[in-house]
Amino acid sequence: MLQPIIENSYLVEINLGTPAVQKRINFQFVPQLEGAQIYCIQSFSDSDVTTTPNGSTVVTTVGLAGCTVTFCIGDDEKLYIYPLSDLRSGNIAGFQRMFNNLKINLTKSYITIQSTTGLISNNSILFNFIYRNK
Amino acid sequence: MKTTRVYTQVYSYSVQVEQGANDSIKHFFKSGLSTLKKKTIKAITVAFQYIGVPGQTDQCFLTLVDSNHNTKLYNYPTEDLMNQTGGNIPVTPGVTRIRLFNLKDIELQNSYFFFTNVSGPISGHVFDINFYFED
Repeated sequence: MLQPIIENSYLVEINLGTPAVQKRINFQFVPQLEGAQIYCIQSFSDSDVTTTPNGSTVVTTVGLAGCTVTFCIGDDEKLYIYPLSDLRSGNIAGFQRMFNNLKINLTKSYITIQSTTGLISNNSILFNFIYRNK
Repeated sequence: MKTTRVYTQVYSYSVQVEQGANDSIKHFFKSGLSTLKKKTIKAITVAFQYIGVPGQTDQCFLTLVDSNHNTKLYNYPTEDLMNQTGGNIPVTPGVTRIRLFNLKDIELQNSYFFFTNVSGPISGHVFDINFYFED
């Protein structure tokens, strides 16, 4: 399996607020990622990173398994309800999951809570976007 | 751990924090500030880390900035850089792959570590970070 050669990375946090089944939470606007070619996406649980830079507690591994992510390219949902567990390096032998230079429309992209098991209010999900500038 | 490349130039920086260091304070690099100028970082590992390891609550993030003031890595979790063969790691690391980079002309003077959820004031030698680089 190939590994990415990291040129830029940006850590993004999504706070869950009060978890509820089928709740959707959109990503915030991140200027650094606007128009960037994203070729690797990584998520973390509290087994990897306990606290976000903002001081929120990171979701548990069980909680992460109950969440999915949908990434939009333009207006199209190109990566649809992708399991977040599959983006966690600890679950995939330490690798980082690679993609083909996605130009993600981040503000239309969202996570969906499929199960609230293991999720606690105001936990956060961390994404590490690895990208190159256009 | 297998690695496909051998780098002959390594800059190993011992991360030291002052007495009373606590949450949400940026700790800038303090020595060897010109070492990585005009160089290309090809890999980064972290060894002898006693904070930010899985199962412990303290956390550390790394931000690297180049000489044009472009942020190349923003809050990269140092736990993800941990070298499994690095000494005295108390628990099994969750990540077992060396991370490969292509980071040119990093300005260490503007780069920093950021700690969160520090369980108490920390000081002294926190961990070593190794930059494998080429001309």
